[in-house]
Amino acid sequence: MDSIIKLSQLSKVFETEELQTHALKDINLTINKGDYVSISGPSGCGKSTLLSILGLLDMPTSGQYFVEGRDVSQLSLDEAAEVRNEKIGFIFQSFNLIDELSVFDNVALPLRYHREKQSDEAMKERVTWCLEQVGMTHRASHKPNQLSGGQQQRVAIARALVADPALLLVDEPTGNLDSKSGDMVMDVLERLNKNGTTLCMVTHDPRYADMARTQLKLSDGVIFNPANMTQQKVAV
Amino acid sequence: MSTVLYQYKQAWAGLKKTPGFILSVVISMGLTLGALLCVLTLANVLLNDPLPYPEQESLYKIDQSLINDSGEEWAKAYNYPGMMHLYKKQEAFSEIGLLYYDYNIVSSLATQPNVNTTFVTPGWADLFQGELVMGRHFSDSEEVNTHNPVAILSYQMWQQEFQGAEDVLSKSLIINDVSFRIVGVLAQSFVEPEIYNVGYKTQVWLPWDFNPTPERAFQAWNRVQEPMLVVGKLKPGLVASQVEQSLTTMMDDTWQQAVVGDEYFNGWRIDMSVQSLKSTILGDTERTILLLIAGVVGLLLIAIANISNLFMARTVQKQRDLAICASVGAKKRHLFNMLFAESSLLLSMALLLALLVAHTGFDIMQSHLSDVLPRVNELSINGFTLVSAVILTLLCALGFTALSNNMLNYRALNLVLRSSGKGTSFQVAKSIRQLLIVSQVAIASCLVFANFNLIEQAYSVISAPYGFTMENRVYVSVMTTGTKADSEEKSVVMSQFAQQLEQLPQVRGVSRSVSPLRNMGSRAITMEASKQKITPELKYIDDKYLSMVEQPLLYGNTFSREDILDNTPVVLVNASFAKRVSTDLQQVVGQTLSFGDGTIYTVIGVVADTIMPGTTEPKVQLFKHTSIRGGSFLIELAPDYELSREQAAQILRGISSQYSLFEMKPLMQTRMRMLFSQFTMAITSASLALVTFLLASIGLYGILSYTTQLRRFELGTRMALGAKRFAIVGLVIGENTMTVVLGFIASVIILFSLYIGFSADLNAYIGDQLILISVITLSLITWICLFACYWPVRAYINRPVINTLRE
Ligand SMILES: Nc1ncnc2c1ncn2[C@@H]1O[C@H](COP(=O)(O)OP(=O)(O)OP(=O)(O)O)[C@@H](O)[C@H]1O
Ligand SMILES: [Mg+2]
Repeated sequence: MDSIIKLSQLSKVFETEELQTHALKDINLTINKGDYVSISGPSGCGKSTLLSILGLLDMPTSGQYFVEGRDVSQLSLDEAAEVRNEKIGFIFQSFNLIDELSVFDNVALPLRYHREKQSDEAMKERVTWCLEQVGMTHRASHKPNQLSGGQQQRVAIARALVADPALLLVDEPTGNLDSKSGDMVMDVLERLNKNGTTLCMVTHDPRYADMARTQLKLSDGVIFNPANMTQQKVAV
Repeated sequence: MSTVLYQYKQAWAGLKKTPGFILSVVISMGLTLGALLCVLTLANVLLNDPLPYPEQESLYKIDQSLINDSGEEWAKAYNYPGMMHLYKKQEAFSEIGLLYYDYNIVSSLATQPNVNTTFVTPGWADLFQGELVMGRHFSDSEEVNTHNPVAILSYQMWQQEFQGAEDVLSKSLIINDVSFRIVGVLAQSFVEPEIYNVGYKTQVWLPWDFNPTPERAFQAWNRVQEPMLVVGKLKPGLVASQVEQSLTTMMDDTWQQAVVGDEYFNGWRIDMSVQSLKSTILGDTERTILLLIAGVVGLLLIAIANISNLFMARTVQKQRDLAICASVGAKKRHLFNMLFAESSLLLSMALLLALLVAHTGFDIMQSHLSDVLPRVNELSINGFTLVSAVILTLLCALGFTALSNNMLNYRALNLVLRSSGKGTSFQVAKSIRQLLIVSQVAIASCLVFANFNLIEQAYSVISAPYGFTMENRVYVSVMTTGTKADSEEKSVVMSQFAQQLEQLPQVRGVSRSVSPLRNMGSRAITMEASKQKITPELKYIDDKYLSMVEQPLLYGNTFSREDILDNTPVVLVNASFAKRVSTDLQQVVGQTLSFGDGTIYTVIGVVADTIMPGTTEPKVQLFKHTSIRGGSFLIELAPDYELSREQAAQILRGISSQYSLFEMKPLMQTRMRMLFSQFTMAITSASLALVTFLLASIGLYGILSYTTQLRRFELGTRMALGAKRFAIVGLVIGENTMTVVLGFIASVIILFSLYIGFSADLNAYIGDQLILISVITLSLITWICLFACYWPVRAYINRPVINTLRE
């Protein structure tokens, strides 16, 4: 199987004036194409930290990180932006849609930052296709604050898909939603995975974690994976 | 009372936590209010305050103009007999004072100082009634033709040369071989009216009879003498314009009779005019004052825009506190009072700084600008300053409070508490932020543009080519101190002095000429062939002068040594002179002219024009050769060498004890003094431009950084989606471009309306240089806008995105 993501001996240390926090300790992790990975664990165990490093929003303190075989652990800020734009789609807990832009423009945003500029038609086609995937075509000209939370999150998913990323990173997608909207969002994600999208999701909710094929448990910056116990022991 | 006190205590406790905010408000408002108080007080003294003399509104300066046959004012000056005629015969003024400004060596003092001496009639004392420390004023015993040798000292002269000695009234001064008994000392509080030159300070007052007019000029109706002025007190009930008419008739009749038969003055006449002493002293400084006020008001507006922004941002921060107050029952009025306590506290601190700044400003004006601006010695923090200060401060405090208060939607305050602060729409409205940017850009562009124009104008005068060399040239003049030497001896002493100077190793050459920077009087001449009348400035130079100052000779020859020794009647003229006579300048060589005294002079050469520092047009000049007795010397030094005053004085003393060094100054130094007002203008404008620039940068930065903070999550999201740093900076710049362009358009409109309103005054500034200045202004303001856009976002784009996304 092709591995999309590979972490080896990856650590993250936060240094503040009073103390050092080892948020991640020697993480080894591989995510393959088409995988559905969930990460769960107690509050403060390092889930968000791991996700932001996977998403190149933050830099590891040590260790290596490969995206499709390319070492991305020491990229410059602009190089990281490029990789993020082309390879990674983000879905945030708080949606992070831009209020001034219409739903359509929010979804199209990653394409505007893309290295290769697309024609307006191609862009329109692509955005419409993504909105179809999440069932939001009829709201394309609305502003985000005219939508419900669940709808906003589905727009955010469409935005994450638009640049055809190798990997979707999802941080507590249902955290700000009621259970009905939450379920709907999870359905969309599951369907995307069935159609071949690789997913990596942080969640508290054991119900949703169970939907994933690979379930990782983080505790104090260390991964416990029953299937990979031996590998972890080597690392520790 | 106690609630008010409580409010101020609370306000102070709140402010103490934000020292940056306090500093910004106090410094910006303190500096700009201080500068405004400074110029307002100056304007008030100059335009409103009465002159510090009794019945000052009846004091007038009386001028005589000589009008030539084509109706042009040929000179605004008196001839000696005319002035004496006016003094004796006029009836419109209850008091009249004649003043003759001069400078002399006091030979009785060990240091032999040069002092400014003013010869006055006793009326001078009655007109100005200066307070005395001791002694008396001039009175009837010093009336014209009494020849009573007495002197009155200025306070500064008494302190400086007599160390404030109590027995000074028993002492005398020897000036021009006359011993003057000191009879009075003026008080420090006496302000000498600045009617001759701004900043001119007389040190010794002497009776009119001793003024240096030579006896032969007593009946010379056909020439004018420069430094003589007349001041009078108009009788009650008389109207200035009528007095002008009757004086004109009286003076013109007499003059016409006196010059009858002098062909030169055919068709000429005399015109008398009176001008109130106050407007005489104000001169043309009114325009300068208005410019200064406009500049400083502009600065204040920028500062107010900056501080408004800070106040609004602070109100946003304080919304929770205010909401809590509202929830426990504070009414709208209470909230207003709370806000007012804070802003008035801040502005009171700014007020203290402003008064300090104004005080310092007065000091600076008094020590540096007393030669440029009249009456600066009367400046101090007075009632007017304090009242304006309090009014301005109160207005600002109320303005800022109203601004903050308007932002508070009283009903919405309660919502703030419920919605836990996150995602509330309580922020400085976008339209207000844009308005602030537009106004900052507009005012800053106008000010920077205007100041660059002033700098450019001053610079073009400063850097104008003069047409002669001043570097390493020193001017020296010599005066007799002892009993009047006979002319034979004088010519020997002067020649020896020149020779010995020339032998000094650092001296390259000595020319016996008057300084090229000295303003000489004009003389009326008639061209013999055409009978054309010309009034050139008359200068005295020798055979070496032209080569020494590197002034080109265009046609003909310069003087020869023999011309000087034999006193040949030959002259040189400059190009401006020659152009009056003929279009072919060369034709002028060989023509003859006369000064009306019977001698016919031949023009032997035409020299290139020169420009005096501080002016832009060449004068019409005529050059005679110096006499062998002349006491003026121009010395050329080897580069990087100096000649000390002591050394020159020592040489002179070695030759004769009857003479002393009167003046010794490098031409470059004199040039600096002549350019002083240009330098002052350039420096003032440059500092104003710089402060404008800084204030505008800080202000724009403040607004844009607030805006950027509001957009933090949006920018973070964009970066998370793959926007590169350049794209983010471009986004921020792009979104502000329209606003900044609007600001530029507003500034063009402001400048254009100013031009329409004041085109007469501003026409002098219209020219090609405006394009360059516009481009520079535009690029500088654009630059600070770009900086203000970039600087606040730099923190977000130069670190991992997660830091921007996280709370
Ligand atoms: N910028 C930072 N500076 C210092 N310490 C940090 C920083 N960010 C995270 N940490 C620390 O790193 C550890 C892991 O944080 P992280 O946000 O990844 O936890 P989490 O698993 O996402 O928790 P939650 O489920 O509550 O979101 C915590 O102990 C946190 O305090
Ligand atoms: Mg988290």
